[in-house]
Amino acid sequence: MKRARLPVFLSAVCLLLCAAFSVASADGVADFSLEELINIEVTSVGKKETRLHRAPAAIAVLTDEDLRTLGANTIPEALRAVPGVHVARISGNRWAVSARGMNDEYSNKLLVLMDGRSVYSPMFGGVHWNTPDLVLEDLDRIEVIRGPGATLWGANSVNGVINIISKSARETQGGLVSSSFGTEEQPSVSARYGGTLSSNFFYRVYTKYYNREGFDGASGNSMSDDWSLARGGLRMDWEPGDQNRFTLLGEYYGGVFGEQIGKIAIYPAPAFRNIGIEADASGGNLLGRWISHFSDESELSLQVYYDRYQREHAVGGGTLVASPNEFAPGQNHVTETRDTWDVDLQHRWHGLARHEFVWGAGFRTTRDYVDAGGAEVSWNPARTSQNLFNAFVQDEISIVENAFSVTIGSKIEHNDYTGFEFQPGGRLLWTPTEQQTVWASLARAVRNPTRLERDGRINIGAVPPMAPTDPAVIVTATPNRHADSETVIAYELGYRIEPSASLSFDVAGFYNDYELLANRVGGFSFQPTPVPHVVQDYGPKNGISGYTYGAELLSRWQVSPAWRLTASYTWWRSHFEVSPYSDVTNPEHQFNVRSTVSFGRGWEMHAAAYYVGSLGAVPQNSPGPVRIPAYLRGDLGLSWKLSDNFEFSVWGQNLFDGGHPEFGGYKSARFAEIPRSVFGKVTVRF
Amino acid sequence: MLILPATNLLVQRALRRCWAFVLASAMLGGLGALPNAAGSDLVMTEPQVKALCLLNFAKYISWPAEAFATTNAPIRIAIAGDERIHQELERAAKNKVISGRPVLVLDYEDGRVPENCHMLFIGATQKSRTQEILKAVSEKPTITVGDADDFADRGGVIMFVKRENKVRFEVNLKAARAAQLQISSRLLALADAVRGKE
Repeated sequence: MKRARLPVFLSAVCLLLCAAFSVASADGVADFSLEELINIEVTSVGKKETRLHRAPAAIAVLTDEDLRTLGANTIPEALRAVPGVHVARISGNRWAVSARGMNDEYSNKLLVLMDGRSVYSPMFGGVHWNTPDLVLEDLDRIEVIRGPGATLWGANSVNGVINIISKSARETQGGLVSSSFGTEEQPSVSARYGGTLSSNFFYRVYTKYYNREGFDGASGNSMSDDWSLARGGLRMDWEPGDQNRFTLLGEYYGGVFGEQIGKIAIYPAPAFRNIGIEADASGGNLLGRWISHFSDESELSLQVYYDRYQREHAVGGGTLVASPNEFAPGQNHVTETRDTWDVDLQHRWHGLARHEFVWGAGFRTTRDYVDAGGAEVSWNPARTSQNLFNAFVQDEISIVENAFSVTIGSKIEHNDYTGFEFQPGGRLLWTPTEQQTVWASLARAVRNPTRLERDGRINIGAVPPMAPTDPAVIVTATPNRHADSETVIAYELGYRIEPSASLSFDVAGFYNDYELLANRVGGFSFQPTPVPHVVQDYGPKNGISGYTYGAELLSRWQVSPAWRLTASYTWWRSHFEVSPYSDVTNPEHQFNVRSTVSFGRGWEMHAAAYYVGSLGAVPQNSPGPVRIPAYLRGDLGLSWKLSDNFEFSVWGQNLFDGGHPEFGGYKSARFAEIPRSVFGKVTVRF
Repeated sequence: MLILPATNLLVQRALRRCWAFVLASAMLGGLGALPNAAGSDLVMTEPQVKALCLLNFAKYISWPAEAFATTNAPIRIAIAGDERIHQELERAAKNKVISGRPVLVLDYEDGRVPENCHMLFIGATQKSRTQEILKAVSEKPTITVGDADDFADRGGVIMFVKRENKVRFEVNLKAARAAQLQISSRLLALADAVRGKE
């Protein structure tokens, strides 16, 4: 680690020096013809919307240009560049992603939306990052809001909200075919066609397929984490008049995700196996949205969606007596089938001077059936139906026109587990000059209990007897019918400045006070049958309180028309009553710097360096805290835009080392080593 | 405790240093790119491109004779609601001559539509007043340009649209005719879409 730091430090110094030189150079605008102007790529620094600059929240936006210059093939990989977000790759197809702490394979304090549809799973409480996806060239932006977005977005957005937004069909006209091939992508292909049915009706249809190679563990053995997925979908946008806009999105997908679990059985003789499971997942969803501008003062939006999926989850664990098929893949997975309906209404009204009201209401119902098969897990009840009602209201009061405003609001929810939840919040926004914004926020947010906490019982491990006369121990995670919601009170402060059109700084600090955090506390009981053994059961108890605090910095600098630099830094500390509750699951420091240089004639070079500090990730069935060392990652990409229709790029990622672990998963004590990877990509437009 | 296997540490370190050097040079590639700044495939900011487009539009538009007081009266362009485009246009229009006329960039005061401007750009912060502003210039030979996505629907003449990271535009010929303005077919050919063609 230390060896690599010196060249990076030197290059940072050189960067600053030549940056100083280039700023002095003229940025005189040359003469361009209209034909040339309409073919110039525009950068995103100049594009920063007024809305974002004035938002009283820690919000960072990854634009489609950012995605292209990051060389990210998946959404979680793109999120590495966002300050405050910790992305840790567990295996080839699983990630632990969190904002402001408490990272976990099932990070339950982050809400993730795809075009308005929640992809947060209420089963385990987290996002299966290997599934939500789209043709990345059709992605408009990813908005990441750190801090409780509860007032507008609702429960489980305790530490943040990630909003993945695709381009409208109007912006994706024509055909596009893109294909990647490399050490991981074997291959990946996307195809999209967009057209119009009339002057105000736009559509696109797309399909995407990928087959990805998995990783190895430290010993060189495969982690059985190959994955492949096919999906197809469409989007339609219809604007019949100036006032109304209708959008329809639909997709269907099916795929297989490899996973490796550890399983142990005690009798007749202690046996431990790593089992490779191929878990299927398939599903579809349909979303409709109607936005109506009744007048300049009033805007209504109505959204309805239906989501259905069936997903296998690999479950390992421990068992007392091995059955004949104990280690067979079929005996070690659980199938979840879920149907979700969601209706959401929002109205924005600024008919009253100095006030902008937003209010809304929504209803979601989700029905699931869990088939545990022979796995070491049981759900009681196996079928449930959960209803969630929510209503919110928010008022932004402009105290001094365009200079100071106060926003207050609250969301009220009712869920079947914990009844009414109240999530109020207030924000201040002060714009002392055009270029500067200061904001502050105080909010309360909750995280609802998951199905696992309430209804799931998993035999997570087994310990063979130490001596022949000792009993074996079965370790079980048990449900708690009274598992409660976790709460946070978040205090935030932020400052943004754009000293010029080409330079911006955005800094945010926070202090999160948590109560009723769920921890599993155990007890012992002795069971005589079938063989005398001890059961050590851990049930979730909402008994932990503690606090976290930190700061995030994001800076963008368009050094010259041909060179852009972006840097971000994240700092995080925690203090919990009971250690080691999750206080070692996020690094104290994270830093990244990215550079994109345009050489002319369509050639561009992209370079990025990421530093992620060390952490001790505690997977459920590891014997004790495991320290994951800090790592330094370097990416290098070269892209060539031959013409408007052809684009090629070559990427090398994670170039600094042959493999490093980033996080532990729940099901296996082995750690995947994230390797160096290379891929080439071709994009054709017609 | 987990023990990570010992690989060939020397090779690892050497490789790391190598890549760090390559990466650093890639980041420093900015140095190499600077001299190429003029005249090649650039990456520019959106306001820069839009401001230059406004100047270019003026080349392809014919205003009625009464729109100008004298043969070398300047072309007056007003920018409402986008400070960045205003700055870029001021810089780009210095000493520029379009169809034999200099270009004058007007300051737009909140709430007052400038008199006798030949081109008016309505930007994001004035979006809610678009209808009002368009109505105020509807009787005048003013080319209205905007980047709201319903600008053409509301009667604007030229609407900027961003496609695949490039600034494109659409033309509403009906609105142009209503303002008694002639738009060269060369401009129409470069537009992504033209409405109101007869």
